[in-house]
Amino acid sequence: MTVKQAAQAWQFNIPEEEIDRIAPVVEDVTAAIEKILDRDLSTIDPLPHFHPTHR
Amino acid sequence: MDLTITELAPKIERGELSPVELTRHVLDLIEKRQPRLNAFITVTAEHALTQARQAEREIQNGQYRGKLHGIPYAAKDLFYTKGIKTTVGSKIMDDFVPDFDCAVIEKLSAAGAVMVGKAGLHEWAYGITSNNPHYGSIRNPWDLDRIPGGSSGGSTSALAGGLCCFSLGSDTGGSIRIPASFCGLVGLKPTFGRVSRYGVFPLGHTLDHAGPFGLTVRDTAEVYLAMAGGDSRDQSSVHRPLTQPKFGPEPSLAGRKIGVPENFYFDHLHPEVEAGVRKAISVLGDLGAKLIPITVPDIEEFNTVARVILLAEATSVHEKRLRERRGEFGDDVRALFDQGRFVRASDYLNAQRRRRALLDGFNDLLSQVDAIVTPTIPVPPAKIGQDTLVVAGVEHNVRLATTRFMRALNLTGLPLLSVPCGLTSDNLPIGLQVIGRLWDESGILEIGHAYEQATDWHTKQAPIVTE
Repeated sequence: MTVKQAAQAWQFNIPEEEIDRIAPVVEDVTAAIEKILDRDLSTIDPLPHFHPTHR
Repeated sequence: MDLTITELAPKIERGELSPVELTRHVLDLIEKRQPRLNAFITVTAEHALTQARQAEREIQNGQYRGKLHGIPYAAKDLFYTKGIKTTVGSKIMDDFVPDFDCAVIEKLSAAGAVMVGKAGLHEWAYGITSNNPHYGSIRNPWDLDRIPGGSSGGSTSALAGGLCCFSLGSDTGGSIRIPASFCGLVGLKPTFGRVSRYGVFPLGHTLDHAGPFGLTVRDTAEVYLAMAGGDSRDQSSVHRPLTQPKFGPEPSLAGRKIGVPENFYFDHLHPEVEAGVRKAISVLGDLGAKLIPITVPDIEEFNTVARVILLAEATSVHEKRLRERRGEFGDDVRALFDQGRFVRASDYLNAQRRRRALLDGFNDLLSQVDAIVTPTIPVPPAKIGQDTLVVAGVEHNVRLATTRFMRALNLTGLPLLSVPCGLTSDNLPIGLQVIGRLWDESGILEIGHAYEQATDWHTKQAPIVTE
């Protein structure tokens, strides 16, 4: 799904020209997230001790 | 007049300096310089004089409360102040008047400090330039054509411009350390949970910290100690004993181990920043610290982790406003909030999971050294309106270049200090960042203070102050 399609599907009501401006950034972030997903994070629970300093 | 707390407090205590006269002096300076600096959104002259008169009465009656009693300060305009407008740098909240003080303001009022105004900031604290479309661009006192950094740019413009004796900021991705470095000031981001955020308007709930700016490390420590402490109204805050930093009469770092990264933090630096920071590190060595080369975790990856978390958290704060009052956001922050709407919940949670690895990595390093030093920012402050800059022949986006050493560290919650450590040939400040162990604010303050005792960068003043 493209950024534009996602914005429509989720009814974000973002004007088209603004979607065009942010789309490359959203795609960059999405690509960067892939690197995080390459790691095995299954044993790490982010909740309920939400912040690392509160372990 | 020397506006350091260290200089003023004993005079106030002895009755040699009137808090009312000091406050009037500061308010006069604000009247003269505010048109050029645009540091404040609201100047609270009457409120300040009322607080100053009370301080004067109390001191005359022998009820001296401590070193902040009668001392004028500025608060970033996202700290809630009872009966005083709190805009968060936004148009949407331009008429919002809280009916309570945030925890930090409560503490400073109890210490007898005098609030002279609410300082400007990047809209919603979501940016590093402090170019605010609703309240105008805030100016750097060192060069009025340049940004003061942000988001707490008004707090540092005011302090470096001689318009208060200390100020308050918040730091989600560098918003204390960036403006401290760009304005030649000391800035402390305490450990996550050390300072209550009750009544501090949020940007990213798991990344936000409140902290002080000072003209010296000693001043910054005084304010930090007054602000710190757990608070049942902020469940992320922690009740832990506070350690007073030990500031010796002679500068010495004998017995301390300081880590110096061999990777990442010295890549793509402006050459004059690198020279200033390398010189500062050699001073730490001269003071007796053992300098230990270290390798830090993959900061680029964790900058992405921080970006995902902040995009999601910031948008969660503003989703309703974005739907209902979209046209009242500035273009740059609206784009960021829109980007945050595309972050999936599972990606946010995986970013939170990955975050643990960074803290583990830094905790491991900090079990081998007492602190780690880096440049605060790789580049000097950009000109207002400048979008890109060139470092070593490579063009960089100003926002990304400025925050490169910042964002990942907010994931860790570690205490972070920026101290002035030089000036470029254009007379622009350079900062040294000191990273400490969890809850060891005292350790990094002691390192910063020893550095200050051995150098004179903290005594340099912006041109607008000396003219």
